Amino acid sequence: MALGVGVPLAFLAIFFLWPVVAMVGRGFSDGLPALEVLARPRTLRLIGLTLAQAAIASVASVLIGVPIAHVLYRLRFRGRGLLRALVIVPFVMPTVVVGVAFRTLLREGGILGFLELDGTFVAILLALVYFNIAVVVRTVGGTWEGLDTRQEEAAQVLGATPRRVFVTVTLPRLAPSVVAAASIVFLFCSTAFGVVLVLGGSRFGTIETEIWLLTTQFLDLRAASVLSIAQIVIVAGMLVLAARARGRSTAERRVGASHSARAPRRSDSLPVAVAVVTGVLLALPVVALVARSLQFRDGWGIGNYLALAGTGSRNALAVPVWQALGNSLVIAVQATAIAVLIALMASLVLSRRPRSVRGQRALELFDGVLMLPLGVSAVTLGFGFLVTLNQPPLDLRSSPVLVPIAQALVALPLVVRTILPVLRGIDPRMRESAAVLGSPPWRVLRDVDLAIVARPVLAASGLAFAVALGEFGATTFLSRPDRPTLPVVIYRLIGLPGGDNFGMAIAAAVVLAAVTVGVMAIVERLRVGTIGAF
Amino acid sequence: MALEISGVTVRFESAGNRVAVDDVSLDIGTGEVLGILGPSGSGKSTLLRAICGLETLAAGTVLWDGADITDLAVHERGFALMFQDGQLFTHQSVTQNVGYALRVRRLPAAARVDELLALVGLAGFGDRRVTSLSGGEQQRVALARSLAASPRLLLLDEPLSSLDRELRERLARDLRSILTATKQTAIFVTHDQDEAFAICDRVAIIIDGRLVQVGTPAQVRLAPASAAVASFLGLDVADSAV
Repeated sequence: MALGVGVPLAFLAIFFLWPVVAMVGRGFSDGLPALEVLARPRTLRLIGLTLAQAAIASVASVLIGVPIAHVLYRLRFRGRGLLRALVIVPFVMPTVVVGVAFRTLLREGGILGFLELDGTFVAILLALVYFNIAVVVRTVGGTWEGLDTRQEEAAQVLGATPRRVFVTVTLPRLAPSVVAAASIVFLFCSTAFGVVLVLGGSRFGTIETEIWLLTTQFLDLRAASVLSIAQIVIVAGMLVLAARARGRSTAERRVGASHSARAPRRSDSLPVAVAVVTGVLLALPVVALVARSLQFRDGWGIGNYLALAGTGSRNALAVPVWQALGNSLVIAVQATAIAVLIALMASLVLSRRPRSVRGQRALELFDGVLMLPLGVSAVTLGFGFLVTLNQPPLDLRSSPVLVPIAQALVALPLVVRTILPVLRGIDPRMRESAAVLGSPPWRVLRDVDLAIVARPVLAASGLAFAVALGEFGATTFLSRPDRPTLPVVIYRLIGLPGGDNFGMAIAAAVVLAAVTVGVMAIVERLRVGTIGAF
Repeated sequence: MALEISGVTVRFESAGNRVAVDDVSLDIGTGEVLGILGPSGSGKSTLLRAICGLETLAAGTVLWDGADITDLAVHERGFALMFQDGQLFTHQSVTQNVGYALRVRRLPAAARVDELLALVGLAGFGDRRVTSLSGGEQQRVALARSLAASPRLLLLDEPLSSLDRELRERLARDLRSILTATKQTAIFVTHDQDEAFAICDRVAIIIDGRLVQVGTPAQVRLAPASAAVASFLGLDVADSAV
């Protein structure tokens, strides 16, 4: 118990709270914080943009995601398992890859070039929705699947039309999970970095890209830290909302999924249509990306892929792309190990139900702390690492552990959210019977908790690996020039167009996407429903 | 006859095309309470769901007052169904639950809800959350909700099975008097013969999806149609006139 609370808390304190607090503290280094930055027209515009883009993208994700959740979790048809697996893919796609894919799709001459959306606000919104539909589908779908259909049937028999049944019975019961999903999407969107950086150009940005710009380009740390604080306030508010919604949703009794699914009917045509159209649209950026990667100079060929063995035109890179992929894989494995170990310890503690009110409060707080990295800017974190961990008592500047630790922090909340519901679902009487039958506590832990959670842990490892592989915000600060990861290399290649660099970036993005999808395909074979649900 | 079903058959495609209800024909007169009695898994609940349209029929027809309603949508049949565990809307209050069918039909609810709550012995419970009620109270609310819009036919799916013995006997008596007082046409599904005999005018016995006997409680008890019926009813086969 002490180990389970102590290690995760110590880890978060050293590698999360300290860097973030130090970074924020810079804002106060010369007396009063540089509050005037909040009054700058540019800042106000970016805060407005951030909120607007997060709000619109969450509403759009819900409007598209709920019908898809209905189709994938309430209807029974051939190929449903495959579609459920595919829907998670955009969520784990590296942000840089999605950014590049959308540019390829929307630029002049691209498949959707005629829409003239390249470099617009709408393009950013589309990309954000692209990422987050899966969050809504998984979160709402998981709840929906477990809702007893007999309540709907009762309403139906009492004379309610299908639409009325949905509005008066289904929707109120889904509401907590819809709110939870929407607030998580809002969170992801308001701290979006890589995709906005690639698609937004100089005209559009978020608080996150502005923090990055202020720290790396203008070296205005005081202004950056004020923005970090503003962001943390927004994020904390959203987390409280999400936690409330989650807390209420557990009051519903759940039924076995096999009881709730049924064959499609004519009244399902609207959600089915939404799902089919969305499916096609989700595939488009990937198609555009792959097609562009096979265009080399003036013809078709695999030249872009062959070029990955080199360092690009004008020596854009310090190492060949393949070597960067190797770095990415090694670092992601390390990050996964750290994240899963910490998450497992924390989840075992969080899954207990203390009798005392104080104990319950403490656990809720612990839960909230673990979720924090979900919303605190990866840029703030990365830069915080640089300012705190580069000097005694912890001089890790020359150590290769910084990048995996940062990536582990980003993956940690996702791993906890995958493992914890499974552990909480274990009937305490099962542990009690093991104990009564003569098992000492460690053996109860091994034979009940760990045995049941083994598959979810494996699945969560895959998810953590995929997320670490694509992590860009913190990694871009921390990776050393001689040991870059693949996303960093891709961003560098887009930043130096000319020669074959853009083609190489596309080919590298395809490779990164392929590895991610491959990992997720293995994860999905484990059939763990909590992946990507909040 | 109020309800006439003939040749009703239900197959479960997902369970290897198993026949859950096999060629069942039954009639119910207006104001009659018919019991459907059978062992667990005999298909009696499926038959009930088929009657109200929640299951698709593989064969057979359902008539109401001579009109074919086999293909009528569930919500247009004017029936009500009460489940074993109530299935109250947990996000609504007692009043909201009871008044649901009235609101759906745009009928005034308040006075009728009070009347129904009094009928089921829960006057003054209107503002309570349904999750704060005991099992017996929840079933009373579920009964009130089912009766609210004066359904043409009330279907009861083991409404008392989740309650303890004493409460079950008391509620069975109350249920009988409420159904008689409101002259409610009803079908009552149960696996408990004492319950069926206490509440119903006639009982239909279903075993393995087939209708094996219909009659008044006395007829069924005195002359079980087969050894299987006798054994299900716990009668000594040698004593009865098989």
